[in-house]
Amino acid sequence: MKRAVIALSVSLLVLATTAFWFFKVEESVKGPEVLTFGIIIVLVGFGLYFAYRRFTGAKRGEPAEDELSKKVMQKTAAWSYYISLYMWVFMIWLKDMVTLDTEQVLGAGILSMAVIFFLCWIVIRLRGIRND
Amino acid sequence: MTNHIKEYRARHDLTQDDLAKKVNVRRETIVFLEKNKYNPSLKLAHDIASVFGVTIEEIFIFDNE
Repeated sequence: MKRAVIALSVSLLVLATTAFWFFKVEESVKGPEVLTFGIIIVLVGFGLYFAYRRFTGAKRGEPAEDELSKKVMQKTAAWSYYISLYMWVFMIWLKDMVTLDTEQVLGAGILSMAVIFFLCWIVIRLRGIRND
Repeated sequence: MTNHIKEYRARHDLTQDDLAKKVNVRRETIVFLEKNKYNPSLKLAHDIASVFGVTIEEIFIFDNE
């Protein structure tokens, strides 16, 4: 239940910050911004779905965490950590190739880390954990 | 590793939800087990076998590939 509340709070906070940023942008919103907003909305949707699953599970009397959910999170964290290391190397290379502000590089890197975590979670759940 | 959880569950007229509650895991863990997408810990294997009143070997089949 605690994790569901945290996921819900973080998702709503990100949504509120994104909405604030969106309405603060003075110039017309262009392609990269629309893409960023789109990715954030998908990630917030994932967070809300995760919180909803936890709430409905708690309602049915299920434990908040069990050995499978812990293993899925551990494996997701490990995979996304390794992939993120390569992603940051790529970002450093990209910074030399294309003119980007430090702010843009950091923003893209943080967003990419969230996307990597989300994708790893989906792949691990689809593949399962067999420990073979 | 494969298992006969689904067959034993049907024999004992238990739903996935019932079995999950008896062994104190989430329902999706039972779903993953039945699809052979997850190998349980020794404790969970023991708890499941206890629910059906059989040994672990009768439910879980270890193939040495």
